[in-house]
Amino acid sequence: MKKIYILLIAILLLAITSCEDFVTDVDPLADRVKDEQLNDASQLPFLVVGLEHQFTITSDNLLSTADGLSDQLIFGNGVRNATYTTFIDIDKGEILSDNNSIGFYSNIHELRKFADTLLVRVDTRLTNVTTATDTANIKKARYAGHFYSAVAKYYLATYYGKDYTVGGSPLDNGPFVTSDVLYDQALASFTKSLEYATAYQVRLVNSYIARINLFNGDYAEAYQAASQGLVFNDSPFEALYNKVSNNYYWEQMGNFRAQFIPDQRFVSYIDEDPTEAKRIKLQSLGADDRTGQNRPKQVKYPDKDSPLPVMTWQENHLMLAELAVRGHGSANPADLINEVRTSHEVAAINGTIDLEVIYTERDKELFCTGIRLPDQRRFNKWHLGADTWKYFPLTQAEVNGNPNID
Amino acid sequence: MQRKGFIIFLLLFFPVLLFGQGLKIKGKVTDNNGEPLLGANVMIAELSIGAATDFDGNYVFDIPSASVNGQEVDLTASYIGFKQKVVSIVLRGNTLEMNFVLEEDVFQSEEIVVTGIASRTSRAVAEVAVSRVSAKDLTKVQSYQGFSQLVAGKISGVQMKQMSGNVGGGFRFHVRGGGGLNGNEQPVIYVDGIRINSDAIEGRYAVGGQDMNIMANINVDDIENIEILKGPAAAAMYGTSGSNGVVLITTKKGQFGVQGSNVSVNYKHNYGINERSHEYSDDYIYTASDANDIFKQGIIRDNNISVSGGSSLIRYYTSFQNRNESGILPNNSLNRNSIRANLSVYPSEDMQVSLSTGYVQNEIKRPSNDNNIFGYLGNVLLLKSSYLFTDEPSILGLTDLHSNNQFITSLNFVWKPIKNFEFNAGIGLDEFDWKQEMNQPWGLDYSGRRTGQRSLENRTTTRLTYNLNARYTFTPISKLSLTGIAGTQIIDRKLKQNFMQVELFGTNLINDVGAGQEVTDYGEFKSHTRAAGIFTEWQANYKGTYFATLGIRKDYASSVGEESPSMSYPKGSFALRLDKLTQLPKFVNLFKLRVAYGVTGMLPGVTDGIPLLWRAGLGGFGPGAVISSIGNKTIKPEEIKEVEFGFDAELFNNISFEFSYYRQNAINSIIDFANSPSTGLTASDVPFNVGGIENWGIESLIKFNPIKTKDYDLAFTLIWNYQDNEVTDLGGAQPIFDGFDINVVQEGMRKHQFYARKSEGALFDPETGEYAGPNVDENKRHNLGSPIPDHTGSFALNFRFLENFSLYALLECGLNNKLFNGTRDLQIQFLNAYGPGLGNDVEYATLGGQLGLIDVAGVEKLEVGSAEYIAAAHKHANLDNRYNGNFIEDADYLVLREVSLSYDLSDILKDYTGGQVVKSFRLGISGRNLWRTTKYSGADPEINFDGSRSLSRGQDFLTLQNPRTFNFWFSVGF
Repeated sequence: MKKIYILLIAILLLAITSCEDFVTDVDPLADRVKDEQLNDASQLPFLVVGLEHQFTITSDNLLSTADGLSDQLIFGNGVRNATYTTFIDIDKGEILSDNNSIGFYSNIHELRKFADTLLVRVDTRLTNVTTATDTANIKKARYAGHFYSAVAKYYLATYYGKDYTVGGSPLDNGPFVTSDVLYDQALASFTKSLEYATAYQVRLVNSYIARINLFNGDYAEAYQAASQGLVFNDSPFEALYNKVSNNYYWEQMGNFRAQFIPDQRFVSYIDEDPTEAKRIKLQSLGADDRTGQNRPKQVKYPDKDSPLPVMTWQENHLMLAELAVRGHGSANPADLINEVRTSHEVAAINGTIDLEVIYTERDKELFCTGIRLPDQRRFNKWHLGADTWKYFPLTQAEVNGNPNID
Repeated sequence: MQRKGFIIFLLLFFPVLLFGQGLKIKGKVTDNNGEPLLGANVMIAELSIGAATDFDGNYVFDIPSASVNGQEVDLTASYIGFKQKVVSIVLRGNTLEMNFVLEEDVFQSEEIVVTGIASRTSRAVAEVAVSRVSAKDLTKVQSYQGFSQLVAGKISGVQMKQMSGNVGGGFRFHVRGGGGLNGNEQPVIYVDGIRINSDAIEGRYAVGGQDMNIMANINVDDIENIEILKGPAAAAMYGTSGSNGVVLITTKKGQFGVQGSNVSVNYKHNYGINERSHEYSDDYIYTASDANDIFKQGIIRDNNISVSGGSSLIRYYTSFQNRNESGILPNNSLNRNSIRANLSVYPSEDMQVSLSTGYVQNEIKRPSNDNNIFGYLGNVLLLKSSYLFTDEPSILGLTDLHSNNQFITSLNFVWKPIKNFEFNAGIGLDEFDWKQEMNQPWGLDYSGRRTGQRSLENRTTTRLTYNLNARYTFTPISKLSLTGIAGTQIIDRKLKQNFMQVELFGTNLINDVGAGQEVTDYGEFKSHTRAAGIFTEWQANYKGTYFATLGIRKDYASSVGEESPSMSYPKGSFALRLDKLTQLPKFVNLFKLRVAYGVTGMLPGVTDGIPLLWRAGLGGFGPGAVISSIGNKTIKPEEIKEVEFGFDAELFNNISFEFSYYRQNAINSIIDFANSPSTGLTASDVPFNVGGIENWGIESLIKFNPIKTKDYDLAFTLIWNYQDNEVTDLGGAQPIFDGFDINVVQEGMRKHQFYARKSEGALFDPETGEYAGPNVDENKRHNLGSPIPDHTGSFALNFRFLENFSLYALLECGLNNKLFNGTRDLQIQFLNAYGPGLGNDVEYATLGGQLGLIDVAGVEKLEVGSAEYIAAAHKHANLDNRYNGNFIEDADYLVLREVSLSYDLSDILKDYTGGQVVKSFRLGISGRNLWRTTKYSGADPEINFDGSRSLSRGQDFLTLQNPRTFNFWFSVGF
């Protein structure tokens, strides 16, 4: 009998002493890694692609919804599957901070944070830097870090605000930062990225710098940058999607669901010049069998993985054309505009090129790219009432969580 | 490590027992009517000597002369179903005669119940509130569709809520105030000593919000009884995760020599009907007729057969059940096959080996409702014209099938090598496989997708439970009995998931994933966690009057942070039988005061203790690193302390009272701080041990059994509970809102309180007097009540009449209950968006017409400034859809939950057949949710659109009403 008791004591003592080791001896996670595991130089490409992915999932949501707030896309009242009432509020510019269709605000800040922490990791925590490939990857990572940090700040400055008409956003739980200041920070980051950029990337960054200066009304600086921006036949800079991560324009504002649909003027553009159909890609939704309404939908992004061009040489041309009209540079604006139109096989235009023409050309060329909203503001052509949002409001989560925001 | 305590405990396992001959003790044991009781136990616990009565109720045993020293000892007589009786005797002389008259234990106060992981006692002496549902008795006279119905309304302090009318759908336990701030507020579930998976699964490819509870797998006819330990005071020895209580399910075991035979075969057939319990009215929506037409009668067919029996060596219980149940909407059904085999082997007098095994195969089809437009409710309630979002063939074509297999088995070994020493060892396995298959067929239209989609998810959970404990009872001094318990418990859980979604099919005839062109979603997930605990507990019983227990448990878990590897949970309790201590009036049969204190915890999330985790985001650029979660390496479990005190009383042998007051105090609650988005750290909230909450409440239960004769037995049971709570600390965190921004966790308020913006009447143009919109302070939220009633209660009638008829009825109520009518909110949103031509809210459209805001046929504009105009303006303003608070309604309810009438024909059969072949026959009819009164304007005041585990509570958003159910059944025993 004593042996049994000794065995019992042994079992219990074993249980007591081995508990801690036992509970920590578990299988590792299969789908996640700890932060410190990414400090190895060989992981840099994985981190850079992560940044690009964050940029991708941010851009389509932000830019398409911004088109919904602008006069380019309108809510598809009566269109089957147009059901998000949060989109209706956005279309009207009557947006409450708890509107859950403006949550991409978090994505933009995550993009900025990912970019900034990538730079910190490269500068201070990287291990196993041994090969030339590692060195090249460090350069790519530095470019990506500065570039996407700049893009994030540009997005915040352009699309968010704390009042109907005051653009900007807080950073890192701090006080509200106006668009002017954010643009300056974006320009600084873009400029820094040039140190690590390829030739194409240099032109791309300059186009971004030109766009920011144009939005800011700093035309001389805009011209200087646009002159070094993307050139004819340069590849567009795109956000890329696949069958898993879908383009939001396709998903909610196009072929899958047409909750936001193009304003009727885009039909008119094509009616007036049928060659416009080559660049303004529309398709009729047909007569709705319940409401009888016949509306267009955009098919610029026909598939769930259609790429979203966020900077093109055509936009750079239009910037140069506008800047020429505004007295900067010697280029012929009509030539620039027609080179853009011809690239889409759209008939050339004649006559005087003024800001109104530029405004309309940008409407057509930059259809469904999120540019219309800042264009409406800077050309002073707001389509809604006085007490409506010209930016997206800071989200309720920011108001709740940031002690520096009222 | 508490090693000293264990060594002391083990040293006390060596008593010396002496035997011999000297004093003969004899007598007779009878009941109140003088009938002898066969098999009653009469013994002197102090000496571990006694005997059982014979056919004439006589007993006799000898005490060795060495033990006869003229001392005073207690002689105890006990018999199942009767109250134990104790008399003091003096051991001297050669013979002592003592007769006992035992009283029937009307309220089962001396029934043995579980009061801890390795402790058990009777209600009559328990130091905590004891809750037991005798499932075996209930299922004899009533037909239940699932586990939650079996418990609902039967236990004080425990509410069961079905989240929707979906067959197989999820349910919530509301145990007391819901424990601390963390976890899902649900108790842990044990079946025959083994912790089982009780998750509520929504599935990756959810189309609304409803989940399904794995406990839908339980065949209620297999359950012997259910015991619930309601809080840390009772459940401390279950350690971490016991803070919301522990539910202990015991399945049926074989009976030895039932009705003179070694084999008992029982067959039960049930035929039932589910039907709509709420009728939509033209007074509220234009589409009432369409809405009422979508419902159908759902048929229930249930066949259950069990075979049980045994001998002195082996006992067994086996059963097979097939259950087919259809819901009140198409595409909602349950088809379950379950097999159970329980085996107990007694290889020697001091040894028992038990095997408990259950296998279930279950298929549940879930309908598409709740926050989606693919289902019936969205298509007939939101717009004036039905089926604008999804046409009816497409609704019918969408299927969401959840198939699962669950195998639960446990092997328990009990060994009693010496008197009063018991060693228990057990191992159990819960293997659970779940598969979701959702189909949107090719050729039908789902929000613009016409090319088909098939979604698959597979989930496997393996949970192993190991139990090892020993208990020893001894008497260190006269009339003091001490029981020492020590043990360990280990739980190991692995979860594996994989999923895939495919689109672009070419036909509706083939829909395997290989026939779809595009893979649009895929991935896998694994987690592995372990928890281990050691515990010791000491119980004292002095003179059968004073009872005390002290215990402590030390727990370890893989999910806690690196800096807090273990937790300790103490407990202590005391009970006093006043009726034994002092002379109380004769009509007081039992009066016990009790007080208990205990501490448990709630574990953090699996990865809460890891500071930063990254995952692969998959987009057009390829796989890249994105942040998955942000943790805190100092995280430790939330700690919940509970004090409970109360009394139990029995009067006049026909009234029983139970009253408890409890107060729970949670500290170190894990508060997930939502970083502001501008920090860029929003992949997840960050956990900190900074929160706190206090819960308190009372529970009362009165049973009255005024008539108890051979032919008539009438009993009433009244349960009344009150519970309240207050979030005391969020550590400076901002209020935590649910996904719809309505329910809040905020300091100074009740947990899950409705806290939203709302209109406060209308504004008028000062010059014209015209309606100028709602009067709203957009920066102000209002405290709008709780989605969990603070007063709950039930009233049950149990009446057996004419010997063999049984009538059972149960009423349930909840007071101060609020519900968010999200369906109406959305109806008005669509009216505003699409205009009165498509708007479906009659009152809002009429008000709009009266105010001249919209043109509504047949509605005339009221005169501006008139009393009617002003009243209409205020009503219109208070229905403004932009402010959720306008749709939070009173939702108190009183429901006639159960009524059943059954008749036992066994005696008649016995008269005709002599009981040779058919030994029992019972048939019955029962109804559920037969009548309800509520102020709530929606379909059902007891539902929630977001399932049973979400922070969203009490929200009706295209949620299916609970059905009214009728069942007709018979059972026959051979």
